[in-house]
Amino acid sequence: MIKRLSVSLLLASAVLYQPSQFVYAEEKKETLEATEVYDLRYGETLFNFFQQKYFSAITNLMVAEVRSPIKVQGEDPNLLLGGLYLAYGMHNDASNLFQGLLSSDTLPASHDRAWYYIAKLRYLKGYTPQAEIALTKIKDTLPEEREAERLHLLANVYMKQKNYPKAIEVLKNFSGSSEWEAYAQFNLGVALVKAGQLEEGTELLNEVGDLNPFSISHELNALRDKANLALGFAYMRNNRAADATSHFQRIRLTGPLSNKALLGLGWAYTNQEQYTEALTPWLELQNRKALDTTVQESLIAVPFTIEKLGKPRLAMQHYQTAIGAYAEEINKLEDVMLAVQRGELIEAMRPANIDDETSLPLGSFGLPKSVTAPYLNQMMATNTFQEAYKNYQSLLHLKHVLEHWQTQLPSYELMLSERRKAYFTRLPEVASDERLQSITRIQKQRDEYAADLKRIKKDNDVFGLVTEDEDDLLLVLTNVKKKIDKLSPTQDLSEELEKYNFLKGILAFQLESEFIPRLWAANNNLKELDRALKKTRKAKRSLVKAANNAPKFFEGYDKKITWSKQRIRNLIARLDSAISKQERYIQKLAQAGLIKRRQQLENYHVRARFGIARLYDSLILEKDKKVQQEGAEQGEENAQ
Amino acid sequence: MSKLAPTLFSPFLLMLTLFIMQPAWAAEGDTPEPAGDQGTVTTLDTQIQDLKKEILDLNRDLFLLEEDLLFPANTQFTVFVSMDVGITFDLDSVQLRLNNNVVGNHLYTERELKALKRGGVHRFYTGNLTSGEHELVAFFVGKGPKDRDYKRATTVKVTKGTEPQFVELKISDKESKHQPEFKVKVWEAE
Repeated sequence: MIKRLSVSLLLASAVLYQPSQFVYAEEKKETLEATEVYDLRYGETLFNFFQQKYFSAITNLMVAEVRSPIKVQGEDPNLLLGGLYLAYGMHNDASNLFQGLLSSDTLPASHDRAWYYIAKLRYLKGYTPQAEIALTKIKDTLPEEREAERLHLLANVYMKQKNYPKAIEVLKNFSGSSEWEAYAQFNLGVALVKAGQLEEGTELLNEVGDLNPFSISHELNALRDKANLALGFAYMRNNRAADATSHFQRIRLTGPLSNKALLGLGWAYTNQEQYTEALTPWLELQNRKALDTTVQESLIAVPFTIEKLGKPRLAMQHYQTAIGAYAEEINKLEDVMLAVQRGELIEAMRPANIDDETSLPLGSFGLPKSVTAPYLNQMMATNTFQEAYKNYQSLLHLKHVLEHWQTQLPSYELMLSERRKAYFTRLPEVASDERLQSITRIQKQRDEYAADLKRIKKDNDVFGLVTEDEDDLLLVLTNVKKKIDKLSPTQDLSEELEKYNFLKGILAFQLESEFIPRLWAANNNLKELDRALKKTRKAKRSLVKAANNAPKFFEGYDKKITWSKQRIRNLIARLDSAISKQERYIQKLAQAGLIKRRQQLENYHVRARFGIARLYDSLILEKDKKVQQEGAEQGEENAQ
Repeated sequence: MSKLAPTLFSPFLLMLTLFIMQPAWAAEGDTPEPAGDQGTVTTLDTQIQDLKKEILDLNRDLFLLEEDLLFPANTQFTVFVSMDVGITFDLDSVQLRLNNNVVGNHLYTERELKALKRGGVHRFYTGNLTSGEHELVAFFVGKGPKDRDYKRATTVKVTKGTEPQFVELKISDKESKHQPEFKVKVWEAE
C-alpha cells in the first residue's frame, strides 16, 4: 500500500497565480495528512505533478484512461485531471470537465470540489456573481483547509461586489487557519480603506500589522509588512502623517517593501515639517539600488527637503546630482528599449534546457548585457507578464515535444518496415514447414489406427495389441509349428509339439490377461494424438489468421504514423504562428512598461531642472535684492 | 508645505493607489494591457489553450503507439520506485539489474526526491522480458541513519507471464528498528 499525501490543497494552490500565495501553499504542503492510494499510474501522475510537470502528468492520466481507467482511487482522478488542466492554463477544458463532473453520478465530495474549482475559475475570469453562486452550492464535505480557502474566496467575491457587510460577516465566521484569516483580514481591510471606510479598514489592518514578527512565519511577516504599508499610505491620504509614521517604522528594513516604507516615512516626516528626520530614511534609500523607483523619487525628494531646511545651495547640488542620475537612467532605458526591439529580451527568455518541462521561474533567464535587468524586473513581477512568460515557455516546450516525435517517427517506420520484411520472409518458410504439411497424412493414419482399434475391440483380438517382442515371438512360434508339421510324418515330434503348445498357451494367456489394460492405453494414446492434432491445427489456423491480418496490422500502424506526421506538421505551423504572436505580445508589454518608466524618469528630470531654475531665480532675486539693498544703503551713506 | 509639494507627491500617491489595489493573491490585474489589446490577448490565450489540448491528444496517441511498438503487452515489464516517508533513508540513486545485466541507473534530484516523499511513484524502467523466471536485483544508495553511507541490495525472482508485469520497489521506514526497509511488490496486471 502506498502512503500518499492528499492532493486536494496542492491542486488548489497550483491554480493561484500570485507568487506570495504559492509560497504559502508550498509551505503548507509538508503538513498535509497522508492518504492511501492504490494505483501505480495515479502515483506516477503525482510524481510529475509534484515536480510541476503538468504536461507529463496530464499525459499519464490520458494514457491510463485509454489502457485501463483508474478506478480504485479514493479521490476521483477526474478532479486531479481538472486541477492539472487549471495548473497548465487550460481553463476552458478544466471548466468543461468540472461541469461534466457536476452532471455525472459522482460522490457529494467530488461535487463540492468541482463547485469549488468552478467558483475559482469564474472568479479568475471576473464572473463574480457566478462565482458566488458556485461557492454557495458547496455543502460540508470540504476538508478544513479547503473550507478556509472557500471562505476566503467568498469574502473576496463580496469585496469585489463592494458588499462589505457580507464580507465582514464571512470573516467573523472564519474558523480556518490563522494564515487564511490574516489574508482575509488584510484583503477586507484594504477594501474598506479603498471604499473610504478608514476606521473599519484600519482596525482590521491593525490586527495584521500588530502580529508579533518573531512568532509568525515568513509569509505572515510579509503580510504584516504589507498591512503596515497599506496603513501608512491610508493615513497619509487622510492627512494623518503622525499615525502613518509609526506604521512605516514597523516594516522590516530588509524586506521587499522596505524601500517603499523608507520613502513613505520620509514623506510622513515632511508632512509634519520634520525635515531633518525626513532626510534619514531618504539618504538611506539612496544607498540602495539606483534603478528602483523609490530610490529615484528620493533623489528629488532630498533636495526639496534640504531647501525646506533653508540651504538652497546644498539643495542645488543635490538637484544637479539628481539631474545627472536621471539623464543617465534615461539613456540606459533607451538602450534597453532598443535591445527589446532587437529581440534580445525574447532571446534571453528562451530556456537553455528546453528538455525540462518544469516551468522555469521568472528571472531565471539571464538578460543580455545590453538589457539592464532591474528595469524589467519590476514589470516581470506583474501577473500579466508572468502569465505571458508562462505561456511562452509552454509553447516552446510543446514545440520541443512535437520535434521530438518528428525525429522518432522515422525510426518507428523503419522498425515497422523491418518487421514487415522479416514477417513476409519468414511466413513462406513457416507455411512450408513439413510438420504443418503433414497434418493431413497424420490425420489419415490416425483414422486407420482408430478403425483398427475398433475392430480389435469388437473381435476381442488379443493378438492385435502385441508388442514388437511378442510379435517376434509369435513369428518364431509360427516357424516352429511349420517345421514340426513338415517333419512330423517322418519323425516323432510329439514332445516338441507339446512344448510348442505350452509356449503358445503361455503367450496367449499373457496377451489375454493384458488385453484390457493395453486396449485402455491404446485408446488413451489415440486421445493424446487427437489433442496434439487439435493443437497443431489451432497453431496452423493462428498462422493463417496472422498471415491474413498482417497486412492490415502493418497498414494500421502505417496509417497512424502518416496521420501523426500530418498532425505534427500542422501543429508546428500553428505553434510557430502562436509563438510569434506571443513574442510580439511580450515585447509590447515590455515596451509599454519601459515607456511608462521613461515618462516617470522624464517627469522627475523636468522637476529637478525646474527645482534648479527656481532656486537660481530665487538666488538671483536674493542677490539682486541684496545688491539693491546694498545700493540703497550705499546711497544712504553717500547722502549722509 | 510649498506649492511644489503636491506635484512632487503625486507619484507617491499613484504608487499608494496601486499598492492598495493588490491585496495578496486576490489582486486584480496589475498591469493594464496595452490599449485595444485585450481582445487580441484573449484570442491568443484561447488559441494557446486549443493548441495545448490538441498536442496533449497527439502526445497520448504517439505515446500509446510507441509503447505498442517498443514494449508489446506480452513482453512488457515495468519497474517503479516509491518511498514511504523516507525519514531513515536519504536516497541518492538506484541501480537495477535484470538477470545480472545493468538495465537502469538513476540519480535522484532534490525535486524528484520531494515528489517521491510526497507520494509520487517514479517509473524507473520499462523494457521487454520473455516468459519465465528472471532475477531482479535493485541497489539503493544513499544516507542511512546517523548520516552514514548506505548501500543495500534487494533481490527478487519474478515469473513473467504473457501479460504486462509491474514491479514496485518501495523504500519505507522500519520504525521499530529505525532502519530503512526495501520491499518489492509485484502488481497483478488488470
